[in-house]
Amino acid sequence: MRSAVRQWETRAGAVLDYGLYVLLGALIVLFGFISHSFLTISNWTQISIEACFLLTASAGLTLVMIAGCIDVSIGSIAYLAAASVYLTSGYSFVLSIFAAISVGIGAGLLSGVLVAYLGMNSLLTTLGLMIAYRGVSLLLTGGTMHPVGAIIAGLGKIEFFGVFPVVFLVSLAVMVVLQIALGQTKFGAYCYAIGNSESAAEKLGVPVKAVKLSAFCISGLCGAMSGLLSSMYLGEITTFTGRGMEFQAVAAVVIGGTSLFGGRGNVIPGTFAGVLLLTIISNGLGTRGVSPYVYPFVAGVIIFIAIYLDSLKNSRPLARD
Amino acid sequence: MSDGAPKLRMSAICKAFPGVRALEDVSFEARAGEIVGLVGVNGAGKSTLMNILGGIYQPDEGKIFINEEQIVIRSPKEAGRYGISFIHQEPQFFATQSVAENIFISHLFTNPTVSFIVDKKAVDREARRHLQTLGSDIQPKAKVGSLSVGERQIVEIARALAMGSEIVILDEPTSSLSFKEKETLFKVVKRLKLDGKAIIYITHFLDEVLELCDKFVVLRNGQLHGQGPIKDVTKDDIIKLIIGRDATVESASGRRGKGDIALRVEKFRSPQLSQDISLDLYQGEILGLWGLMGSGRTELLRAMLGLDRIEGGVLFLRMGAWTAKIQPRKLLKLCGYITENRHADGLFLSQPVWKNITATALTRYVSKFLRFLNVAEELKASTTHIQALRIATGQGPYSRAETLSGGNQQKVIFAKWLNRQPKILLLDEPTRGVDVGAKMEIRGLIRTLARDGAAILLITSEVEEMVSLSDRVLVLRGGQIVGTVEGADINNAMLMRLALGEERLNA
Amino acid sequence: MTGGYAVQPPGFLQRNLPQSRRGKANAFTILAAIIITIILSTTIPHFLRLGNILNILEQLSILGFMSIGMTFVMVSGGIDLSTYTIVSAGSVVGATAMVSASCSPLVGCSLMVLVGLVFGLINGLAIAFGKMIPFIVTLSTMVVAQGFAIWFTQAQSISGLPDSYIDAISGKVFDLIPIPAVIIIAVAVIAWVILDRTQYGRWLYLTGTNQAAARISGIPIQLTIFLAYVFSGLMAGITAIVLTAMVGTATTAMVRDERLMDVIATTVIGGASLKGGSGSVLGTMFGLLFITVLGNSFNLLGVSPFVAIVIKGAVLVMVIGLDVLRSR
Repeated sequence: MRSAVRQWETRAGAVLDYGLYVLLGALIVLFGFISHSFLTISNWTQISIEACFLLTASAGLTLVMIAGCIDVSIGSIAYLAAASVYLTSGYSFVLSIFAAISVGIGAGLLSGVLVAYLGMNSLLTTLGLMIAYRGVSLLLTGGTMHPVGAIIAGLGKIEFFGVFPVVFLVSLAVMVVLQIALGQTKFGAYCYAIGNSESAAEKLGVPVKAVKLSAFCISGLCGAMSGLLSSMYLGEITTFTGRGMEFQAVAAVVIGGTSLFGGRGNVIPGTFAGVLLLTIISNGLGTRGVSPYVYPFVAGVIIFIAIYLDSLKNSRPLARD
Repeated sequence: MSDGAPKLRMSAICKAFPGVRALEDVSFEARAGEIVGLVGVNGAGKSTLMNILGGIYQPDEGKIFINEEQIVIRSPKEAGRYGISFIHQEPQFFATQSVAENIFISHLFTNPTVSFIVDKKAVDREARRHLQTLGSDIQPKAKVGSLSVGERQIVEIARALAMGSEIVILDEPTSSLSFKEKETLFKVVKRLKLDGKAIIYITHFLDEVLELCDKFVVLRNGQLHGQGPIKDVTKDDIIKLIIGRDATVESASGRRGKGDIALRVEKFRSPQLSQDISLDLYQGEILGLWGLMGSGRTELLRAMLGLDRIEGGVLFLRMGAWTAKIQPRKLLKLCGYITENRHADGLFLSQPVWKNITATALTRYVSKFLRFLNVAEELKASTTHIQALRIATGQGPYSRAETLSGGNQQKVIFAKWLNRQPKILLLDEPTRGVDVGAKMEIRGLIRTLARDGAAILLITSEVEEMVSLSDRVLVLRGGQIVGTVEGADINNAMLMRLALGEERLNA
Repeated sequence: MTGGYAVQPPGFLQRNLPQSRRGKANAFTILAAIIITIILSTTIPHFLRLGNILNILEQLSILGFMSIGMTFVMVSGGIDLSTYTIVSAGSVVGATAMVSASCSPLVGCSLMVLVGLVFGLINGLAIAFGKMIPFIVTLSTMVVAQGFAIWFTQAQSISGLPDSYIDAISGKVFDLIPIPAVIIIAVAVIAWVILDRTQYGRWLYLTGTNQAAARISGIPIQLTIFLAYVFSGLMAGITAIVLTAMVGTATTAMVRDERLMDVIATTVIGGASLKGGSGSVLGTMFGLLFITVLGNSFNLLGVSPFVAIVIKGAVLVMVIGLDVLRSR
């Protein structure tokens, strides 16, 4: 890290840091113009609902990525958590919530132990776990959709003043809590330190393993909550729950300014804006009647650009033997 | 300087590594409010001694006392707990975080009521206080990534202060600093001294030792060869202690007939070189490039090969009867280049020796059509080299490179480049990390190659090696050539004087 | 160990049997794979029936092409997550050409390969020249390829492929050996030759082992890495050709997500490492055998497909753990 950091910090950094918000603003204006229904309250309520599941999961992922790791199992954890909600639907809704939370923390513990204490590669490990969790979920649900308990479904549909969906408020709360944790606590400072230079952090007494384990637990929990919220809102779980969410989350987090190399980024406003961007594009295209099949394409191109800028800004030297 | 017991006392320290006696019966003291300059050539034992203090190595024999209490330091973390801070050449920092966070990462202040929230005001305030103690005006909220190298160093020193260190070790702190930054650093170190810390300043720049330190300690070949107050000595005295009172080693190469010019480097300019550098390399000649670390030797070499950016300069290569201008990258393809750090970029450790040896000249073994590799030919060539260079491997060419000893690994690298049959050889520390026997062999090999007509550029940090091998030596200091040494002038004393001192010779 | 060379050149066995701890661990996994195969074949009824074996060979081919592509990429030190969706992309383009535009099967197949090459090119450019991280680049290419397939077909699947095409690819030679099996063997041999015997193969291994040293040795590292990804794209194209014929329709999800795990597992079991510089076509083939036999035995044993997924995920995690231990 020499003057390279400074040199590109100004160029690519500026684009990545401010370009996102400019783009966001421009898109809102654009869609507002070309589509009458875009700027209505009901549409924005819709947007907030569409976004909240991704918001919750991405918040946890942001933490893990700042600490220099990655967790691609969050989508399957969401599915597994939703499956646990379904399985406990005959009982109290409190049990369902508890079940989902346990799934999240349990999965997080597993990934965390494997990556932090056994030193396994976080990408491939969580990739394998992603498949395993999905398999377990399919097993538990028989691969079909199921309704969840009536009470919990009812809870999921509450909208304060008909405008603020409770699911969105929950995800907002999660984001706020995590941003406070990142920006104001020792734990957050440790995450950034580890992402910047794990060896220096280790030498200076930062409890690297414990911090990484906690980060994975948080991302597991957030993934589970995303699945919980989704099942609550839809009143049911399907095989599409959480499917492909890991990619969307990585996209949103990177677009929002968190580097794949670790050490920089935040939940609010970064990841929030990233998720918002993706949701607005998908929603905006929808209100315009554009074929829904354009969206993955567009999202892919945007993430490509984002990671290119990220690597310009933050990449490290060549790999060695 | 305070009287009474020394803050730090290392007594009769001995340390040996396989094949090398790094430290022998070294005793060393540092008092509170005192700056001790630790000097010696590379390999003299300075780093080993300080690494023992820093908890990275354990001494085989000897004791360490802090405030006259004996302690044992088992790890860098423990060293920190004993109040020892080791500030390395490469600063350790967290680029995206603030100065204050970098200083206090090990013990962030938390809000008295809510115990997990960081009290940022307190952290900033204390950071500012420590920085002011050092006389620095770096802002606590600035991101360390945006600071200059010198400023980052000061942040590390502030971190040492914040951790309550009483003993601060600075390892070659000025190698990457500009003149102004050096001045700032000196001010900071003097403040540290006022604050009552014991400071150990490792360097090979004797000017700095004379300017900054109260006491000097000279190590040579792992032994203590002199110490005392600075006010009692001159620079020459210290130089004599560093290189020893032994008879200066005469150049053993004798006058070799110089052939035609093989390579001309004209006016190379790069960020690390303070002036244009030009040199001529002749066939049959060993040209030594001498200077301390940071003087620009490796930078010049890398620039010549197109591995680093240059701001100007031209290369002329002799091909047959013509001399043509070439691009640096082309030179990389045509010459033999032995790098400084064989583990990083010299060897394919997990691959067998024969694949290593043929890697640079694969085109010689491919069939015209379809580019098939003639493995039998490769093996034959490798075996020839293994025999010629007497490389000791468990299974001939089939052993993996990582199983060989350092000396044999280096020989494999030689073989790799010799396989190309290059006319020009650029050697950067060719006998580093190699046992004595292999060193002799490799030096003999270099002489033979020169005798057979190769043009050789040699960089080495061992003055004896430079003296015994080179026909001609260019001395670099501070990024420019300060001396061209030939014939009888090539001896330890002259080379060290030029590298450390003020003089120039034929430059 | 003397300096003089009085050692006899090691025999074939000693030369090819691994010496390093890592190599021994590799051999162990391969041996385990073979033993498990033997155990399964003796305990499960119908396993050794010719029909079943040929069935295995046929399934093997699809995974095989993708794994061979992945092998090249992993030897170079990277990874390619996008192969399995590029298959769908290629498949739908070629199929549409053959069905809607009445192109000949030759054109259709060429288009499938072309699509694969284009995506491989994108990956290669970004990773080798743009110096971007392989995981993320191929992750996004994966999504883009998938999205492209969906968009191209408006989420419809394409059937009615010309018989000439289907018969040509999914027929049988001598009425016995499935053509896909022939193709995979041919491709494997060619890939093995390239990797083990050509200059490019040597470049690939050296670049993956130590990029800096390779650069200094004069190896064109960027070109080497670039071609690895292009090759992987090519394999995706070939997979599309064979799979589309075998299945009879072109859909937007020709290869299920879980197959990505299988591909990674086969290459890692076969000795490849994320760090690069190791792996081989032969090893990948053994890994392939193992994974396919495992899947096949699940089928025969009537194991729920979901349990199979769980087990495969678990196997992958274990294999990675093994990889970490190997490198210690």
